[in-house]
Amino acid sequence: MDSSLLRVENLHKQFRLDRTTTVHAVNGVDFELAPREAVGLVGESGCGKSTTARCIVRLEQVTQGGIFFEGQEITRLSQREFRPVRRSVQMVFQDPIMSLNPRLTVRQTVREPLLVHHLTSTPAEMKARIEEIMTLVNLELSLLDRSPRQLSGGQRQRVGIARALVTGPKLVVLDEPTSSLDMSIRIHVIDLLRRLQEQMGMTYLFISHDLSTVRYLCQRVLVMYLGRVVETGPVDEIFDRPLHYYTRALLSAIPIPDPRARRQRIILKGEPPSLTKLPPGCGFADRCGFAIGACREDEPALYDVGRGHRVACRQAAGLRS
Amino acid sequence: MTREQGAAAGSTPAHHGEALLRVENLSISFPGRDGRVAVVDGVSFHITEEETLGLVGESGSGKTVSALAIMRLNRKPARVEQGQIWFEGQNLQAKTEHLMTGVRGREISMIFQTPRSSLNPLMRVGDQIARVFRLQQGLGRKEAKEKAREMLRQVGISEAERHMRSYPHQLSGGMSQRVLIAMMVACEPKLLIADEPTTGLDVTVQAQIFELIKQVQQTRCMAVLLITHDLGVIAELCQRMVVIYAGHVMESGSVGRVFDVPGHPYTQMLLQSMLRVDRRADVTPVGRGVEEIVYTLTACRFAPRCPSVMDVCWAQKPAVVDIGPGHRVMCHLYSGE
Repeated sequence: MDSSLLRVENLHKQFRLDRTTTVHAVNGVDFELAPREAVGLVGESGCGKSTTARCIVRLEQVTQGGIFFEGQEITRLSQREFRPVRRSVQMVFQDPIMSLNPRLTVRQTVREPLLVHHLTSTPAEMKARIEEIMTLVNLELSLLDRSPRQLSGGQRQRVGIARALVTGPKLVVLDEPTSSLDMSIRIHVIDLLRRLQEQMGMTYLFISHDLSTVRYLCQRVLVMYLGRVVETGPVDEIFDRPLHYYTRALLSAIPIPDPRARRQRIILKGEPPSLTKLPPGCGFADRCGFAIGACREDEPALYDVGRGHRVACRQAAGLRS
Repeated sequence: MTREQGAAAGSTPAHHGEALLRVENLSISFPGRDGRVAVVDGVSFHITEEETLGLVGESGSGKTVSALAIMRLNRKPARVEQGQIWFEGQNLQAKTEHLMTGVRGREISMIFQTPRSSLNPLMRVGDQIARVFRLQQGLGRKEAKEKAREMLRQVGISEAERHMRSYPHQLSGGMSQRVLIAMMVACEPKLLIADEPTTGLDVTVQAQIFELIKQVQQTRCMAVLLITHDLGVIAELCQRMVVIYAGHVMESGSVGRVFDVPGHPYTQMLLQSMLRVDRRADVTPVGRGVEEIVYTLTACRFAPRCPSVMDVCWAQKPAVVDIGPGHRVMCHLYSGE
């Protein structure tokens, strides 16, 4: 039987732009999330990480493939059938000003999910629930009657988190929840997310391009490029011993706040191929330092190199074994 | 005020003599609810030739406004209340607008955080770069085109020929920034002001852009004022740094010293809130996570967030104190002795 909370199988998502152009955003992604696990989904713009997330919370219809939540396939459920799942699968968005309704107060915003899912039976219970969640995310109750624009960026993001957590979800998909915040505020929100996960035993799928935060918050990481997972494994394993040339370049590109840190930087050449015209074989081959002729012919599988570490590169997998 | 007095924060005995740029006691105000508010309040720093100085601060710290003031590009509601900006011994504040036009681009160039909005959307990329050569170096049409093509290749744009004919909307963010760098290099300035040049770009593209800036800096012997909120970028690229908060320079010094022995509680807080990709670190957030910046405070503007706040912090603006070689802090913690 399935011990995973969420299983994504061979997920594909394409967007038709016009009669001749199709954007291949996600091209065969497989992964599983175990209960109470925090997993980072990383990669750069256009790698398909946000689209994958949006498919999971059903903000997008998948083109092909399956998504199983607690063993139940959710991609083909009707709106009504999906509603009980929605309660357990919540999302926190990148831009709190875009994702909060400007006409609702904080109280109304946090109350909405309780009403939709009929989670409280008396007004007193609802009030208690709202106050409880506000305290949990470190927001003063005096903010309840403010509108989003009367809040600071950090407070807004806390409201977004409160709205997601008020239903008591099992899985929370966080799409770049801290990238709009200043660094001295960011760490407070990251720390909050970490404590909440421990307290409430939730599973996180944490979408980010900020790998330092992923290292701090997550146990496992999935690295995506051109709509595919190119490398995955435990965070320390991937960050300390990256195998895929792209992961190496990505990690080496991140500035380290330490003037003494010295390392070999890999500067990638050029830009990723167009998502409307995917190259045959490995999508990274043209920028890869390991590439051989065969890489441009067939798409590499995810090779298991031990310790839960898998890499979609024949050459890199060979280096290890 | 003499230049010696005004040199307040960020003054080190420079290795190669006189500073290239010296900002002295600069204050810039914006209209607020109760009269004008000094968003930049007595900022001083300097840059020597060929050096990279990092100006680090969060949103609302006044770092962009200060940089724009150097170029005299601040627009209406903003007003420079006091201060001098010396570039190669000349006071830029005193120059006529006509003379200032000769400084912009040719002497001091600036690249911005939204490269696409700095390009003319209706003009082909090649023509825009060629135009710089014609205006700045007085080249003819054909020569300028040829130079532009060469420049595109130099900043690492593949298929330079094709991109000569591209319009800005057909370029990615990273490519747009490369085009702007090409235009900047065409002017051969002595100082480049780079205002968060990689915001919104992916890290691998950021690495490409910084590599390019470093390359240009070395081959053209140019000084760089790098404005950023990322201490990682400062650590990798800069020799000296200036930490700015709410329009006050809180700390300045060599990057090595400031990272090793940060003096100001704000700098300490910033450094403690940095996560690192190369190791798993435990970070404890400092302070209460207040975000509001109080520009009206006449004393220390960091007082509302400061973990070591004292009574005097609310009453009086701290003096700038030397706490090491070329290392200065504006904080009452050090004014006792």
